[in-house]
Amino acid sequence: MYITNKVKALRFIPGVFFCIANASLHDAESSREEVYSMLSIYKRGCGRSMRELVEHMEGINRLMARYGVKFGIYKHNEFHEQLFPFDPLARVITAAEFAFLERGLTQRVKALNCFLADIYGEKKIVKDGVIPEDFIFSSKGYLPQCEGIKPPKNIFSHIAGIDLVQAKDREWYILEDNLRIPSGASYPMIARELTRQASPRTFTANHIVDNRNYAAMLKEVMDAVNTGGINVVLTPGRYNAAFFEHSYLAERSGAILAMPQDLFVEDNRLYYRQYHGRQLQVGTVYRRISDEYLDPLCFEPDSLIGVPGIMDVYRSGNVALVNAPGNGVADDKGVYYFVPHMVKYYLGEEAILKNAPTYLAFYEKDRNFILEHLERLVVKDVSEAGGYGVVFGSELTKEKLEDLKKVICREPRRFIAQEVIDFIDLDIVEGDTAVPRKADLRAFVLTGDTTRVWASGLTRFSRNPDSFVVNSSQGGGFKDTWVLSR
Amino acid sequence: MKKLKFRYEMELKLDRPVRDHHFRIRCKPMEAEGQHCESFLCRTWPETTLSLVEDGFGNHGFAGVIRQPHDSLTVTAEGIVCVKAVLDTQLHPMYRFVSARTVPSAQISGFLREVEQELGRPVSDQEGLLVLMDRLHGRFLYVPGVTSVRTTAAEAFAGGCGVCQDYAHIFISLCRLGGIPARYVAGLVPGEGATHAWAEVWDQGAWRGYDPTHNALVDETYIKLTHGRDFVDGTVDKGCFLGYAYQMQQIYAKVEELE
Repeated sequence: MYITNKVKALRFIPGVFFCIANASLHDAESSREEVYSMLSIYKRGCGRSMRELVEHMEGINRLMARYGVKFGIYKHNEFHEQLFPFDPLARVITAAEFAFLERGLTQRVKALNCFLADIYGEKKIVKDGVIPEDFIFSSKGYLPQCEGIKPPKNIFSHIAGIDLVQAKDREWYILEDNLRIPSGASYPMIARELTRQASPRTFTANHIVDNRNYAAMLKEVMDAVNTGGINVVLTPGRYNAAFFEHSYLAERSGAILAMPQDLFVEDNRLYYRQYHGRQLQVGTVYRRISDEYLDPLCFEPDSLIGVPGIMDVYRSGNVALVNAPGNGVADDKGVYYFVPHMVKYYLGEEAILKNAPTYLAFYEKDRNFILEHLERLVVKDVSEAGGYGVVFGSELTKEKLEDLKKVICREPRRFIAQEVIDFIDLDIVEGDTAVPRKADLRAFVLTGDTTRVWASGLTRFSRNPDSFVVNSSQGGGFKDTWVLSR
Repeated sequence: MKKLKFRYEMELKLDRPVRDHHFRIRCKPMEAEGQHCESFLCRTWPETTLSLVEDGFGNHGFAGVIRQPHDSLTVTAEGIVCVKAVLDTQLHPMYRFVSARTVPSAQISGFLREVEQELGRPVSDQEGLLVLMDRLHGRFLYVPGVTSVRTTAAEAFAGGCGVCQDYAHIFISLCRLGGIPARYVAGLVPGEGATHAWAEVWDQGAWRGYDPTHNALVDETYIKLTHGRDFVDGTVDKGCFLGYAYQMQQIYAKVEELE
């Protein structure tokens, strides 16, 4: 069970290096391991610059608000836009640690790619009995409309957002894979840009890997799968939760930001209609529209934001869609359980990165375990995303626990249960103090001609001291993620 | 083997002009085990070029687009098809699981239990399936106009009446509930009228056609156009356009036996 790390919030004392305050935060259980990442950076004089960032926090957030770094949320059927609060105390990942993560993440995404190609193709992993068919063909993410499609270069997962947490024992665990439309890369990108302006010293005095190459990596991916034509970022429009990101990524990667009505299909090719009527063929669509709304002739017929016929063009190999439709079958919370098996099956290797210990209610043995230990587990509804449908057994009353047990028994395929990982807190600035909060890391793994991990990532934290849920749709904030070059 | 001549006409009338009308028509008999199209001709009015497209279920169709304003679309297709009693033996696992239109209700599962009690065993073979089909046929009434293209198996069953699409949906729902893979088929049957729908059920290593509307097994006079998990996957024609217009669709189909 998780015990809250009760650390006294410390005041920032003017003139005192921030590192001191921070190091002492951890003195209760300060194994050398625990503070090494913090110390290594503060020792190099980074503390001073970090303090500069803290001083500029308000200004940076103000600029972000002006640039439209916002997150939209639909609540009670109304669209609310809210700022995505930035915290200046970056998460620091050492070079060695990043090298380890890089190996593990690359391996994982390669296996997931093989899995997707297999499922929409030969289905060997099912025939060989490694994964029961129930978990694949009854998954909401499995789209039979995509059967038999071979995307350009056989890449399905171009941009993967893998969510990880680091436990108190420094071990990293995969929380979930996001292979549909993982958002968030633009936030650390713009944060880095603004923090570099606020305190250039921080970035000259420390060996922090420059993360401003994300747009270039994205362009490489789009170019690698391009079937001939321009690259576009397809956005559903202004009222999408991540519109800032769509426009920012398009601008930075040199792609055209297209609305659905700008694209049309003719003679089994996809075209972009320019403002003055010229037509340009499109080779890659980095689409930020969910699968089900992408093509009214193939999926949801009532979709107003789709491009009619785009799936036929895609099936014919005349356009690349980034990411491939149908990827949801691989990031299903039930399929998650089997990812280490996939790594073994497709790559013949042991998985480098661990899954959080997971139990599938589908299996009787696991189900009995879940029913017995429900009060210490976290239960997730496999069909929900964005932090919804997550229930902590420890927060439920007796009656609610019993109700949940009944639901699990009635629909076992719908639920997974996981051990609650006691993950580390990162300090965030609150008023003039630093307080520890739960944080996770979304790592971005891009696959074009090669599979690469972006040397940064989105660190999201929960602003609620008692919450483990860090999703931005649940009102959290974010930090930059610094990967040290040595 | 049967040689069948068929004709299919679809007319979509709109009460005001629309534009950028994209459509899919899948009125060409499926090239499948035991079914081969000897001749086929398809035209649309307004005229437009049609390109052959394929979907994930193995259905082929024609895609077309009419950009200029128009207030009607007519599709006519005709041809000759040979149908032999050869069965398809490719099973895709997706047909084991419920689909949006075939989610069983408590009523549907209750009905399955009734039939199983009567049989004294689960519905697992052709004999059982024939009994199941017969009981459904007896229970459900053919009444056009009470259900729509959006009606689910559960809704139709609760209402107690509907058309061939509803019979097929309910039968598919019952089969899958009983652990038997089943799929939806849209096609043409001898005589004049509209398109027809029935079910194919995985039975002894092959897909066999069951027509619950007529309480009969599918024979060589049935022309298969499309298949899928339910109506949505197997839609014979669909489209979308820009414009706000009320639409009325009329379908006419005719099949005659040659020789």
